[in-house]
Amino acid sequence: MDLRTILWIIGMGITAGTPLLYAAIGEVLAERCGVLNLGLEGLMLMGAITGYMFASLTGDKWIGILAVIVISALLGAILALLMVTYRTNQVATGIAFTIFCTGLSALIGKPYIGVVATDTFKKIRMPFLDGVPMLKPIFEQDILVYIAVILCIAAWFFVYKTKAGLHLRAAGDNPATLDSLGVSVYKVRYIYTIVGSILAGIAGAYLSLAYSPSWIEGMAAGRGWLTIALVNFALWKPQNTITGAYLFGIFYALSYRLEAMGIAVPSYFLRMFPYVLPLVILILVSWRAKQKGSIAPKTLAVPYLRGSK
Amino acid sequence: MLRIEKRQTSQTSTSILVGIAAIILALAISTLVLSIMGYKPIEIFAKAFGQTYLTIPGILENLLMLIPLSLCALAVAVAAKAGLWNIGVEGQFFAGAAAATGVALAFPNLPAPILLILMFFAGAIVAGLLAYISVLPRIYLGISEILTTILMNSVVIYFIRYLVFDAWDDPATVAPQTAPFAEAARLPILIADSRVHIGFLVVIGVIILVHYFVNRTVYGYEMRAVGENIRGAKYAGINIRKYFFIAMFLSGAVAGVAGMMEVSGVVHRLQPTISADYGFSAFVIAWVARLGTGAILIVSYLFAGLLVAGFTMQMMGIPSMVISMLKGLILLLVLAGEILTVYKFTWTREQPQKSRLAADTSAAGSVLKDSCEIPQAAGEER
Repeated sequence: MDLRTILWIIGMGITAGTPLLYAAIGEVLAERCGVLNLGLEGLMLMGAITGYMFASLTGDKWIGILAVIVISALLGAILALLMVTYRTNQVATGIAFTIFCTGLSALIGKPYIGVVATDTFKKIRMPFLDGVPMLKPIFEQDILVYIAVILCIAAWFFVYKTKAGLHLRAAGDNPATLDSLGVSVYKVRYIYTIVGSILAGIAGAYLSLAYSPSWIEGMAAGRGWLTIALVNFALWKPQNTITGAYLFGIFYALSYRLEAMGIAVPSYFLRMFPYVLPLVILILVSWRAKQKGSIAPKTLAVPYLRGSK
Repeated sequence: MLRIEKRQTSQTSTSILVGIAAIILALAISTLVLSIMGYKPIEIFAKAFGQTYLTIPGILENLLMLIPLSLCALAVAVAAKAGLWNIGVEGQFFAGAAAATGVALAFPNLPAPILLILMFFAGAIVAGLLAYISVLPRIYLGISEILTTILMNSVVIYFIRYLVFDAWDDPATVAPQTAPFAEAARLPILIADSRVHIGFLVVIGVIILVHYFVNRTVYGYEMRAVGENIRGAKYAGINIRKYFFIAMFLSGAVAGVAGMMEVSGVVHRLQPTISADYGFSAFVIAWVARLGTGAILIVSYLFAGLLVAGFTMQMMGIPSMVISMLKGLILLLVLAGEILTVYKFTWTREQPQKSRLAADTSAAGSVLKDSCEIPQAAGEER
């Protein structure tokens, strides 16, 4: 494998990792405030079809993204109502929600199978890289890739350097104290469940409007679940999500590339890469983190009831 | 002011009412969605459900569908008794089917009872081990078993594709599938002139055995203790790892048996399409049945009808995915309704007393709470 191929794989990995990055930033925020949102897979599917539908109806991809934000916020509010206000079991709720969205997205998307959207996200040409064409696969990306990087930095700054970020962390680690300071735990958890849902929706829209511009039933293909693994890998720190997302993305790129190179392993085993390798990496990371004790938010997936201990 | 109190006992009658209300509401919402999209749902629903629940062929198809569904739901419930989330039932189902297929293809000349028993245990053991492997990262590193089990599904399904497209592909047919089983590897039919096979009796047997094991033996008691309060169980000297092994192996084995019976009793060969999303359906059934072993049988029958009706609807022009939406919706509504069965709402005039409000934070029993505190729970085991 020469340098050109390696750079190509990295570039492709960044593209494949971007939907994971969007969803992971959102999920880190949600989990840090105590809400385990397992509805990501469903939110991605809904985001993918909403974005694709509105982009092909209006001919404007940004209207598609806007629609995704509105619909995902609504879905996020429903999830928050169930998990925060009704204090339903978060694992069961997330999985039920994903099953529901799998069906709903397929139903809505039926007329859009095979429809070509005119306006999708294209790679931006970087003329100043003409001298070093080898770097083009890495830096010539669509605008959403760059927005994701900025969002990741912003999320780090927000979580660790602002007062609202402190409240967010407190809602997950010590909700009763936050409540006694006069900040509503419910409100904080609502906000970040909704923000996380919006980002998961955008991740889905990235799949249908940039990664492989089309609508296919169930096109998230497990990326929602991978994101949950990614958040664990990132040890719930927003700044770590970018490494994990690109690494997981590279596993996708690797499985395609090795298949194209025609190596002797049956392609079915290469296709397992994006699911197996993240598990292996997660096991290695957890092995190292084990000595340091628990790093997860202390009340992750534990509903809050004001007045209880 | 609204006062929320935790009920001393959860009421079965309320649970049943909530379940029925959830199903009706979910049907109403689906009707609305379909109408908006320009379908004519009411007549199609009436016809499909009528055919499924009210005619003899429909009922027989339901009974056939009930076999894998109830076992898979039982698999979810067994793991949940020990506080574990087994979301990998789909993969374990396929693993059991593949193991049984391997035996059936390797020893086609064995006499029927011996071959079937071998297939049964091959399916159960391979799937049980797969489930156990999936929970090892939880036991030793505190990695949530939700992740490992769900990611293992994709791995198993690609492996099945390898088997049916490549290693075990039947050269006589174009479709991705293995060669048909010998007569000896096929489960006998139970009800004449139908496809309902002897597996139906196996289902009843397995449900009774599991129910007895979980509720009437010391092992089952200690397993439930782990599920209800992992810290308490640890201080009581219960070996958590042992019960994680027992629960997960048993859970996987039950799902594996379902896979074995599907290939041996219905399809008579391995195909990548033998599961109509049984894994997630089983999750919904187990939770709608509130993990009760007896209730699983009844809820499985209802959901079997739902899936069977889905095939009919597809022929009448409604995408079968509507069933997936319906399933998700029913569970969401049941979960939302749980607050009515776990908490009591009363309007009072005076200010609430603090002690009255000191209710448990978990809505649906401690299986839920403790199993979700994954990192800390794992920390406790060290």
